[in-house]
Amino acid sequence: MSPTELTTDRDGGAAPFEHLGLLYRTAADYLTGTVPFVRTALSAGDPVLVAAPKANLDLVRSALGSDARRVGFADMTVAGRNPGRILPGVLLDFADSHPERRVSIIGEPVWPGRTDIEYPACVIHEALINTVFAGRDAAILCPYDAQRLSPRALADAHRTHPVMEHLGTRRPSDAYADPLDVAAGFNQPLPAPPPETATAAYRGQASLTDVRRFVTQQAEAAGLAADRTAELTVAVNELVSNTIEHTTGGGSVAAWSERDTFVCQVEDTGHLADPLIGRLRPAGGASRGRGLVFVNHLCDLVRIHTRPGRTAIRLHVLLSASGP
Amino acid sequence: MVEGDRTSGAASRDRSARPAADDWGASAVTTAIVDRLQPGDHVCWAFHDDEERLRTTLRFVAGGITTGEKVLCLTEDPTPEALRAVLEARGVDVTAAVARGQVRFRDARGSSPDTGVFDPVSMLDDWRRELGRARAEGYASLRAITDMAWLARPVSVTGIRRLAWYEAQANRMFADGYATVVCLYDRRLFTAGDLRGIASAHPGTAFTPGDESWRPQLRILRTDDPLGLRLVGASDLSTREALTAVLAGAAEDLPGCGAPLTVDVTGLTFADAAAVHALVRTAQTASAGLRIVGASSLMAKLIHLAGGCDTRGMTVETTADGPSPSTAREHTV
Repeated sequence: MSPTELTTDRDGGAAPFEHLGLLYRTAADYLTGTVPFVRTALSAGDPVLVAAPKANLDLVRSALGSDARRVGFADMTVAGRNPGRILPGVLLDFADSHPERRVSIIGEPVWPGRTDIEYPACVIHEALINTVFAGRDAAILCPYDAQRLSPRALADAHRTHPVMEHLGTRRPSDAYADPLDVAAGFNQPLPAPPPETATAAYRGQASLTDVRRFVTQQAEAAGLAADRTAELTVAVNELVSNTIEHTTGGGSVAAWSERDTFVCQVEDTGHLADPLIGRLRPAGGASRGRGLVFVNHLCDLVRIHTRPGRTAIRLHVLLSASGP
Repeated sequence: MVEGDRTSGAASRDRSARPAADDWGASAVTTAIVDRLQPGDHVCWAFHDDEERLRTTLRFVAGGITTGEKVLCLTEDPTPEALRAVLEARGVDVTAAVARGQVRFRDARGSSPDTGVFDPVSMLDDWRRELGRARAEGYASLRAITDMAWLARPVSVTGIRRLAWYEAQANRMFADGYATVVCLYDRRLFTAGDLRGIASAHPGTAFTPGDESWRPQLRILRTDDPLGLRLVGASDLSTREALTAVLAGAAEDLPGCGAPLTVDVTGLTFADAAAVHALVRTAQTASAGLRIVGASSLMAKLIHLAGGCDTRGMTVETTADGPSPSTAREHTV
């Protein structure tokens, strides 16, 4: 759908997609910013989803009273633990299940508990929302805890949201930047794996079985639960299959534990030129990228550094947490 | 570990390169692998040299004669007559078996060897006739070994794609579990790139017959009650085209009478995203829908991720054993 098609079927003017950053300091701020957003959508008969950390979900739910029954709720610390799966698994999933309606979503992907390692993936996600939802009939409101988040996080919110809201006032964000540029800025070399990391080289489709065995053995030895080990094995298999299908060379898989996380890194000689790969819902026939959607769903974090001739994709699975 | 397997493969190649005219059974490994094949198997056998090809053929034919199966040998070079003479000289009593109609040697180029043109559709028809003929003759099963070398000559990208398509489509017939089919691919004639696509059109590929634990990675078998398919083994990139072709053809090949197709995945130890998406697409094309039985909790989750939950007519029945780590099972099969 082109934006022009959409502008004609709604109020005849405004761009159909709104992506708002909401700065809040207190619970009262939070409700001032979110509840009218929800009620306006409900009164228009539009579907509404609130995806936020549980405490904020509870806050909105109780403020909405009986209206809460007409709203979808998702704990973002679970559904969006991996920021890379919020677009396909939360936002697009909700939008696509209401194809004829304008959807309104509160999405809070950045919260004070996010680690420094997770953070870049959150900003990439926020930036790419603009690209993915461009032209869609939707409003996404992203609350940011201005009290507890770092100045850097608040500055990034201004870079990834065309409009910012604070204490009931909406202003265009002067700092808003091209989403693909923002995402590209976080395409940085990953820190080196620890020394003496177990590594397996692969080349050709006949080595897939060996790769799966390697991942399973390493994950089990690290104490990863059996169901998560099986999921991680599926994820690594997808990345390795991509190498074999789309590059002329082989690659390698490295596995190690890092504090409370089990990590697998797949490296090859390819280049992931499309930053949206793995973030769109797999459409019927299209095969490209659906493997990466699986990877995003199955892992707790996906970190990518890619350039022509070399791509490293690092998958994190929490040793303690249960599956997504 | 990958390297380790390569080493053993290379070692076996060195052995097979040695002349073994008086002792074709010396390669116990090759013997073991050939004997492990079952009706329904359709294997890409990527061989290194003439001796390996001959030994494989010998073992396969001799085994079929012993078990009383119909045996079909398709070859161009050597000619059918020459191959028959070589097998006889190596101690297999093919003459008697040919005389009683159990074994037949045939030109690999299908029913019109003179043109030398590869027509995948008529080749598939040819297989259909051969399967029907063996059945009509009363054989419980058919073994066929066919040398694909003649297709390496007019080598082109289109040719290789057509060949891979043909091999993938053939699985739709072989899934009925009547025939055991070995397709011989000469690694001196087909490049590694060619063989990647061709191999993936077979549920099993023997690249390095030095691994004694080898078996076809995937088995795709038709079931009559309930009507559908049973998948056993692991489905990944190396079997992708084979599985996709059978699943894409399932609605046509298995016309149910209003009952959903059943795909039993109890024995499926691994499935990648492409396999799961192929299952979901099958549910969308089968008129009475698709029922997946024996899914691990992981499999059920992957089907959900692939949009199976939004697919009308698709049901997923999980195994009762709770969250079964499917990869853990993969290595014990």
